[in-house]
Amino acid sequence: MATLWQDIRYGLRMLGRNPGFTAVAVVTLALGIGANTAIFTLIDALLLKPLPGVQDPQQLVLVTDNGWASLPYPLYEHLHNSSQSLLGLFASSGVSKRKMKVTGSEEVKAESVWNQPVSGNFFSVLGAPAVLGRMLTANDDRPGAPQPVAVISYDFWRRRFGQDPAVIGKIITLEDVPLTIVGVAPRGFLGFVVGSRPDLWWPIQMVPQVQGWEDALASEGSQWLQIVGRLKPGVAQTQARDELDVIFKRMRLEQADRQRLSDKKRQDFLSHRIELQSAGTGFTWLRRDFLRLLSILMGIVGLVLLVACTNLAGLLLARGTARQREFGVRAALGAGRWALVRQFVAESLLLAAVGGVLGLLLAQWGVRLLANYIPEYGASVLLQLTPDVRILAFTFLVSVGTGLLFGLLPAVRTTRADLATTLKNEAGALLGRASGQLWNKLLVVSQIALTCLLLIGAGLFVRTLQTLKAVDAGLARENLVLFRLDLGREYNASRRAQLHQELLRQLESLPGVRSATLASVLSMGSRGGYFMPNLMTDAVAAKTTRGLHCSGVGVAPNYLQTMGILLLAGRDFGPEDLPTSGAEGRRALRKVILSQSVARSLFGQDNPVGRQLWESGRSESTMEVIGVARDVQHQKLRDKPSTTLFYYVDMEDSDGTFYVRSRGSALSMAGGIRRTVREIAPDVEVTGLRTMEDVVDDQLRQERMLSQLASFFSLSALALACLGLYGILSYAVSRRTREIGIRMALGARRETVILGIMRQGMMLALIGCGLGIILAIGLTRIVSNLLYGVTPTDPLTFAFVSFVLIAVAALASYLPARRAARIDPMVALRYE
Amino acid sequence: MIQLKNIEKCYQTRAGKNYVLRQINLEIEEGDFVTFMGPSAAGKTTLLNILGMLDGDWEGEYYLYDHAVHDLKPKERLALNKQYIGFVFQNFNLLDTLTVYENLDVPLSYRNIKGSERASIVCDTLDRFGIVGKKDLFPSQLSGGQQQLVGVARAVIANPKLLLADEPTGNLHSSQGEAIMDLFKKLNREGTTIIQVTHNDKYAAYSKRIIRLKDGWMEKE
Ligand SMILES: Nc1ncnc2c1ncn2[C@@H]1O[C@H](COP(=O)(O)OP(=O)(O)O)[C@@H](O)[C@H]1O
Ligand SMILES: [Mg+2]
Repeated sequence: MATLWQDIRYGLRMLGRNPGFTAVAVVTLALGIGANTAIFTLIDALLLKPLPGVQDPQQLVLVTDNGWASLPYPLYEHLHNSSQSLLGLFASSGVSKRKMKVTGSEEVKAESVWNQPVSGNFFSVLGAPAVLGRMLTANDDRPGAPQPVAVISYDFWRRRFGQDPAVIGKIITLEDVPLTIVGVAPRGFLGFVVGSRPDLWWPIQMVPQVQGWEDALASEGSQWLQIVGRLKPGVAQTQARDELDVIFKRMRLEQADRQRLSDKKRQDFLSHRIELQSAGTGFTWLRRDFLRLLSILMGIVGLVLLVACTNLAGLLLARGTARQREFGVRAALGAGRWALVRQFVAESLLLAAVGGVLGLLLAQWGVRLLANYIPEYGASVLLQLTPDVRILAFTFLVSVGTGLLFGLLPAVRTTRADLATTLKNEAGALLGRASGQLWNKLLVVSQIALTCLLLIGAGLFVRTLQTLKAVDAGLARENLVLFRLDLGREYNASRRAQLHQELLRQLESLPGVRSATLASVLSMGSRGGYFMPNLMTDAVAAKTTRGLHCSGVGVAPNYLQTMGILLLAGRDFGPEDLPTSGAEGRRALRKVILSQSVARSLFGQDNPVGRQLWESGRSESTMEVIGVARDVQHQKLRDKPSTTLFYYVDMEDSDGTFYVRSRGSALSMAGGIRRTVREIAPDVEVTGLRTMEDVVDDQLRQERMLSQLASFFSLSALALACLGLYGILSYAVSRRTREIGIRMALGARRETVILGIMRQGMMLALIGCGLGIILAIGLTRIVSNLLYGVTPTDPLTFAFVSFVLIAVAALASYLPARRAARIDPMVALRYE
Repeated sequence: MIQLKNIEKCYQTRAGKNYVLRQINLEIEEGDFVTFMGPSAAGKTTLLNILGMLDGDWEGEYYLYDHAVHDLKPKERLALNKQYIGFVFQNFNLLDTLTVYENLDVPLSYRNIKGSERASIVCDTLDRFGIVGKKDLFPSQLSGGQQQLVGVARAVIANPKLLLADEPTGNLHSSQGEAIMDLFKKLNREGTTIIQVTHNDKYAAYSKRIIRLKDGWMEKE
């Protein structure tokens, strides 16, 4: 123990004596370890943290249908009523924002709160007792007769109600449905959805009222719930799975019989089975989206740390040679090899420890930057990012591993010196040992190889992002803003239609606005068109019974013009195309515009304008084509353009999106738009107002995350590798001062000296680059399905990276070479 | 105490074997004070390193007390070195990142001695060599003579039976050199066996025996 303390003390002093080296090493390590810790913190928050405030979370299991975790309510009821192997089973929907008012408060404007509908046993199954009042019960959630009650979170109680105990019994309205607050959840309890912090929970049986979704609880096809069970102690997960599966199968069979499916469909329908997943760490869709990304990033920062280790090993090796006299003396005074290695490694571990502590601090800051890349509902997720035991352990292990990794090789090599020779000579005379140089070269080559791999990876991600950004989606993104309206329940269908039409008229007359429109899709965003199966024309019907599937998009007049979609034939919608109200009128010949590919599939080379089509089996749905538009990409830029059929939007629809094309900067329209809406309808809120470019950017968040982070980390690695190359060459120059002096005294020209040194550097760079390319050919395949528009072995990227790497390496070699060429033979030879 | 029989040492060079020690036969009694003399490259340092067990690559027989050193493994030689031998160097070889006190502590730290005991040994030694006032200074803050004083103190701190000194006065002024030689005399009188290398006849005269080496051969006494 005492010797350990002494090793540490001496180590600290050694580091203090070389502040330059220490600073470079600590900063390098802090960045490397910090980056690893930051990524791990995200992985921990998304995947590993047990649910806070939940009893025995390891007993929880998530019910999935073939791995799919969104399930319909009737399935929950069935499983809940029939299963024996579980202590309890609850259902919960997603956490989302809704408008809340506190009854009796002065506030007239609704506030939006995060809330979640849950089954009545949600809290009892999770084991979260009320700190005040009571939690939801099965009685609150009685089918057909729910209690209009709600439970609020501890944090919301503090933030919104100042921890007032009188909150119990207060009545609030959620989307204008009154609910009575009956309890406050325990402090620290965040529910079941990782990354969210619900303020409010309410009975799932209230969904039809609050969400205005009549058949939510009866619909067998709507998948919107997570179903979670708690295993009885001693019951294995497989046992519970088998039992639930039997119940599930029975239910499916009965459904299949009822639906009279075709054989193939029936078979497919019955092939589903229940799978259980451990749910002690909660649930989030983010895992599906980000886990792969994070593991790739983990790999990247791991490689960067490896480069840093290799770099430091090289520095220590060079320094170790200079310290052989010290180790020689220590050995003469009785130090065994182990004592020497221990002393050396203690210094490395100290460096790693300081780097680790700084890295941990750096990670706290870095992980917040990283979390910004992870979106949910347009807001950043609220992951728990505070360091926990796992993160501390991770950082500790990484630091120790790092210290050993870069410390052991130099320690073993340095202390192996031949003592008799070391002692006899003055320090420094021994530096030219060829084997030490070899190791140093190997280290530099591996740094360059890893850097090359990282740069190529980053290059592929950058090219992917560029290609995606440049994808021609068929619409013009600039100078286009979009927004939605949040209409209260007092807006019935006819008021909605009136409002929408009036608003469109007013928007078009706003100064600076070119045109405005309304559509049922959120272009480039999350809402796509409606599925329209089996479109037929006379010609198609003559050949086959199966028509064309396409995506139906409701649009208001001027849609094509506003979105900048090219009209290839016919005309855009005008006000005259508004389907006349009344059942008769609406059925009469709906006017539609086809996208190019739909037109070609249905009408071939013929001009479709004026022709008719219908949905197979529904001849009353006959439509007349008035125009043909260019193919458009409505959602993911990565997808193929959708086959679209535009019809005149139903103005009564409540969830359309408005689009406004402006003459100048799109965002300058925001004020005008808000004002216009306020004038027409003071009680209506404008939500999600953003430019189309923002929406596209949002869609590319993962790609941007990858390309930016990979670029940043691979450039850091490049800096390190060049530092390593520069170091080994500078060192070689200083070691060969006398030799170079003699050569120059004998008439060597400066250029020859420069070329000689640079040749050494470029050899290492070329070998490293070659190895890196081989590594990349083998490894980039791993990320191939994250790429777009480039192959994993894209020659352009490989060539460009090699070029950059060699150019930077040339610079790193030139500097020491130039110094060598400046050696004055007279001065050099007077040395010794 | 020491018995060398036919010690030979050679370096492999491109031109072939280059012998630096030939047929060294030597006996040294406990309590002796021996000087190796001879021209540069005679092999004095090489012989001293062999005696001190820093060099393990030679032929012949070497007995230290009743240990047959030539049959021992490196680990066992290191143990013998620890038990019996102290080194003084021409260029002092103090560890310049450590204070005087810590330099003295280094040999003890490799010898399984309890911390409290180590502290008292170091303090005694500082006292004995009259360098208590210098204990917190670094080597660079000392004169050459003072540095070598610390070097000797460090060499004897673990109570070696045999003190090996390779040109201990080579880097010192004559007055400083004499002080070191007086110190050796005193240590020898107290029972330490000393083998030193010097080019200086005056310092050689402090010893009881002079052995001359030339081109690796031992001349007759
Ligand atoms: N590592 C070595 N490799 C080759 N020859 C060496 C080595 N070390 C010493 N020698 C040779 O051994 C001979 C004796 O050296 P040394 O014992 O240092 O002489 P002295 O101390 O008497 O001046 C010299 O000729 C020297 O060149
Ligand atoms: Mg010598």
